Amino acid sequence: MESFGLLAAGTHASWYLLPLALTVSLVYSATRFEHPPQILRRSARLFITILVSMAALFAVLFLLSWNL
Amino acid sequence: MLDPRIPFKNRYFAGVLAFLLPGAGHVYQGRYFKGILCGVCVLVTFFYGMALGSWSVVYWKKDPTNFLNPYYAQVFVGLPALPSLVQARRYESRTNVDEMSISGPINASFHGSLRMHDRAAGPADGFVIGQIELRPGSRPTEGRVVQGTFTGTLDKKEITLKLEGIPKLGKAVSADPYREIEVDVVDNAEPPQVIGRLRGEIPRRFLDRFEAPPDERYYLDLHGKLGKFHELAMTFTMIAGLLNILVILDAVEGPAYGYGDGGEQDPKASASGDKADKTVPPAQPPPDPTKK
Repeated sequence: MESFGLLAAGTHASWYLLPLALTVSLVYSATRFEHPPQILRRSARLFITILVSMAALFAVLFLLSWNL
Repeated sequence: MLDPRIPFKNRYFAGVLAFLLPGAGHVYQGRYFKGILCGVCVLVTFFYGMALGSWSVVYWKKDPTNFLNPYYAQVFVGLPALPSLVQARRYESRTNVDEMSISGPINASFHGSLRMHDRAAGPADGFVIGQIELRPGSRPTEGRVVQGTFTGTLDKKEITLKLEGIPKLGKAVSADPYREIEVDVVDNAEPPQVIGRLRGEIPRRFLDRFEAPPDERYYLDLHGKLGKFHELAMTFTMIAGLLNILVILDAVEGPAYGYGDGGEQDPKASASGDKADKTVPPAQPPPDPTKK
């Protein structure tokens, strides 16, 4: 099982945001609402919000570090 | 105020269940969708983080200088993180030190190095890999010793070594998946003469390393191997614990916005002018306890 960590080390860390954002949005929405379709709809919205926010943050940092 | 449409049953018991096993509190209350969703999300995040960190990122180690111990968040995953407390006690026990004897026979895979005292007396020094077999024995002059053999390869050449003497074994409980071992190599004379030293590692028992604190050397080694993924693995396990706090609160108090249709309005929905979900059952007044 140790090799799993080493295998994962070959992947760019940014990709880990996707499953993490997905679980956070699902669990967060599940603890805000009771009705299953509402949970899924809200978690999809939150997931996209997280990704867009992170992409915007990435873009700002990328521009600030331009030619550094 | 609790939503009467949600079957809380004994909500504090549900909270304890939700702490012990993420999602179990909701399943007990009959809220299967949320129970399975939360349980799967929290547990997958936790175990994925553990696997990412070579199963060595969840442990309890007392450190008065560090108020941000990751275990404070990880512990909220419940049962999957609680063995750390037992392993920490075992790790810090006075008996968990380097050992100079074995309590029972050892038959395990081995990798390490062979160093000969007298190169004319046997094989050259080199890297060995194979199977080590040791059993408790005794010698008139030294008392308790171990006896056994090593069978394997020395720099890819078949080799069998006779082992005897006082061994040195690393501590039994640690996060390192391998345990250090050293033992003398002897010749076939009677009494046997020490001609070299075998030094290497054998696999550690799963129960002796699962969620056990790492030694300083292994911790640095793991950092070197995983780099930033060590922190990422730690983050996954911590987020799993923090998410389970929300799940516990939901099992005890119910969801923050409920069905989003009644007394506890979803502020975002009201702010954006969203209408209440038509698929949501309408709010009912709470049952009157005086009526039968």
